[in-house]
Amino acid sequence: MMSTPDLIDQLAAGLTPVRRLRSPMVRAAQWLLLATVVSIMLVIALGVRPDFWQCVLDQSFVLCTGASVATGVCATVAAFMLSLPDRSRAWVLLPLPAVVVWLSTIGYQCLTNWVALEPDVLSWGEAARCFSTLVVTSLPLAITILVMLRHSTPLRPVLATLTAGLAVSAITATEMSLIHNIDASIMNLVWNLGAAAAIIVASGTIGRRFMGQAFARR
Amino acid sequence: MGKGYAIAMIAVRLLHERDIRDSDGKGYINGKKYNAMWRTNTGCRRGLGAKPLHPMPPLSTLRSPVLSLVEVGRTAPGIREPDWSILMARTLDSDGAAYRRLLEEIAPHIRSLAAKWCRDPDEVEDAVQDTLLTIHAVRQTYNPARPFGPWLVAIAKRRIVDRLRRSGVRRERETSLTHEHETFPAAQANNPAEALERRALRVAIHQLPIGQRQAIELLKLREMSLKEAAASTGMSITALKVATHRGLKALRRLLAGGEETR
Repeated sequence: MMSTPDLIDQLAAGLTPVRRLRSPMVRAAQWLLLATVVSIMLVIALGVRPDFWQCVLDQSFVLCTGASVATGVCATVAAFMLSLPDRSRAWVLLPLPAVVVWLSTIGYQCLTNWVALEPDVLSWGEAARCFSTLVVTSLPLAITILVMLRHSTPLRPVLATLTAGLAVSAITATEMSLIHNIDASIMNLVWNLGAAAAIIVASGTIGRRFMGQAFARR
Repeated sequence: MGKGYAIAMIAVRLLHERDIRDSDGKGYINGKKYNAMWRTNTGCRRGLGAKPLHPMPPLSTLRSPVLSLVEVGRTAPGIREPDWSILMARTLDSDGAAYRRLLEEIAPHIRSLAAKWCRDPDEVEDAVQDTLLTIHAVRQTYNPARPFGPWLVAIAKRRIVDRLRRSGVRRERETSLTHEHETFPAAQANNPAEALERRALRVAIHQLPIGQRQAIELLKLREMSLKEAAASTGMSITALKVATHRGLKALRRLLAGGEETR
């Protein structure tokens, strides 16, 4: 085992310049800006849902979308705060009120129709199409936020990854509610939080090895 | 236009003065705010630490240059305690000397923190090294505008908890080796009781009369046949059989007698 003075010598000798992280609020704002750009591009590429203007007049739609936006914003801020060691763990509670409102308004239609049974033809149902759209929309956002939160790996990986998963879910749900006329929120949550859980399990099993290698490289 | 320019100049001047002014224990270097005071809040109070590790005086007591911010006399004259926040800020600017000094100074504090939870000195040292490695890995997450104490204590706490968890799991799954578990390549070295018995047998054989001893050694220890033993010793087969029988009887008596005398 290397002695602590030797380790200090080695760390000091291998000190390389690092770019200071911007404030968590600024980084959260950057990611939310990226999410907004992705949403606008999706709307331009796929067009808004046919009944969008009727939905805007529907109070429950407005409440659901507003709650998902609020959840996304709060969860993003919480994730970036939790990625820093000196910020309180209580930041995890920030998205809670918005999540409660959002979960109380979402539907589960997309989970119910995976395969369309038509005469003579067995084709992918609305759920499968919905899922593919979901993956395409959430993947770039998920990858970006996880890269931005990579510094939290040795500190609070579970909390930061879960809140990040929640943020991606909420933002993707908002995007889907603009372009997709069936509510995909539950599927969205299952997919994104499931992905977050998978990342946590993977980082728990193989992450330490990667972290050790990262330390060795530094 | 002229009025706006005047207001702008006043604002610039005020900002410039803020850079060199000190108030409530915070210093400003090139427009960046550095905390020159250990706040005993957040991480310290809620977390592991109890005492303020490193209080600093207000910067009004300091000399002006940056270096005097770093190496400033504190509570007692003659004691030079650098402000870890500023050392860390200089570390972020790739100042290796400041970094070495910071690590050397925080290591004992992390050690005392770890010693509260870990009993094994090796575990304590491992926790210290884990914390130093983590500090190195996530040093870019430190914001010089914020106090260094909670940042350090949060990292140390995390690493100590991880180590305790790992050692708990290890204790549940593994059993540490004792001297009894030690083995050697030579088979006879691995059973000390058997070695003792062998030695006692050898002593008993040496106590036998020469004829019986020869018969036992050749027939029982070297496992020769009666014919081979007879050829080797010049004794008849019948004499060898008798000597072996008597020898075994004598050995039994000698070894049993040894136990009885204990």
